[in-house]
Amino acid sequence: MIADGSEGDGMAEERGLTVEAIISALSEVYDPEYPISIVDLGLIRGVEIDGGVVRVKLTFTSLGCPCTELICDDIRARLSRIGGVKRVEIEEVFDRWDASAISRKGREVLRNLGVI
Amino acid sequence: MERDWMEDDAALAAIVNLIVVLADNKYYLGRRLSEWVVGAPSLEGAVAAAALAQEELGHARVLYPLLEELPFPGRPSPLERGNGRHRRYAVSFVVEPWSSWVHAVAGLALIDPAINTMFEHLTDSTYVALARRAARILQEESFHSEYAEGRVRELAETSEGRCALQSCVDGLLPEMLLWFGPQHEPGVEALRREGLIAGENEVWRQRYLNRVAPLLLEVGLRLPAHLSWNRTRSAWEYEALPWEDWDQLERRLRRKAKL
Repeated sequence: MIADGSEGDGMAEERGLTVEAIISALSEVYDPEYPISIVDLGLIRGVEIDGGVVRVKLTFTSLGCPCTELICDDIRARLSRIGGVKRVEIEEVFDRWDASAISRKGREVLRNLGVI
Repeated sequence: MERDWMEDDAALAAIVNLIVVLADNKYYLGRRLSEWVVGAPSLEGAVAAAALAQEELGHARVLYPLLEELPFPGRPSPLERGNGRHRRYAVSFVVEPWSSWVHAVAGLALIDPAINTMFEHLTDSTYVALARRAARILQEESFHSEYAEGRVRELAETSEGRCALQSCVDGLLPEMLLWFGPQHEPGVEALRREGLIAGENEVWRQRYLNRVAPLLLEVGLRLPAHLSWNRTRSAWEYEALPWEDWDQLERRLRRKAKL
């Protein structure tokens, strides 16, 4: 699911396309199973901007994750709402993932839910 | 340069075959395990079967797309999502539904380690896209190995379980020895020449036996195919394998193993 953006897309456009703006937008894309963003979950492994093309490098918690397509769709949908983004390219990079990749904020959320 | 080896026709054909063999075995292993999600002997077993099936299918998911990026005419299509295909590049043990939970344990204990043996020799492949997937798959497979070993030990605690497991081992292990191919297989030589894979047929087979045979012996099972450890040579020895019954392209027995 995609959380409502806390900043308007116009603001992102005013600042121009930056990696920080992209990461901020990705922080609003949530894991479909837990209320934690894909950034806090440690799935984002890189962001590149080339003109209006945004390239996102992504890994998953498991290669068998049933939500891979859903997460990719949510990323495309959220980033496409940012002014100046013409195309979103997502590359699955197959980096190792384990619980150490979860941010402190993410750990807190999952701890409150009794997941970790 | 990653692209150079693609101009080597023999290596390209061999890597396409290797990828579809690995992917098909993963796919069928996942399919077979998923059928035991509601038939495992315990709730824990059922949950584990679901997790294992999901991961095996996930491994197939990331392997099949490699076929599409390789410039090889007539390359096999993925089996996912009900896509039919005449050739099935998987061991005979997994292409038909399993009749008991013991088959699921045998599949996990004897097929998964064979596939992992190949991935271990692919982590430094000059085909980087495959190498990255191999490393990630191996990370996830450590749980599978632990689970399989636990279930083998559990089954072997009773004479009935041990007998059923022995039957599966007798039928499946000889096919897995064939699966690594005859020594100096031309396709493998092409893969080695291009740095696409490490090791060779007999090295893989010995590595596989080092992984699976000690556990089978420890729990009181007999090794088929006159398998034995030669201390002088520090190697496993076995009887002549029935290569005439083995399909080298699909890497499976032409007749289904009798279990």
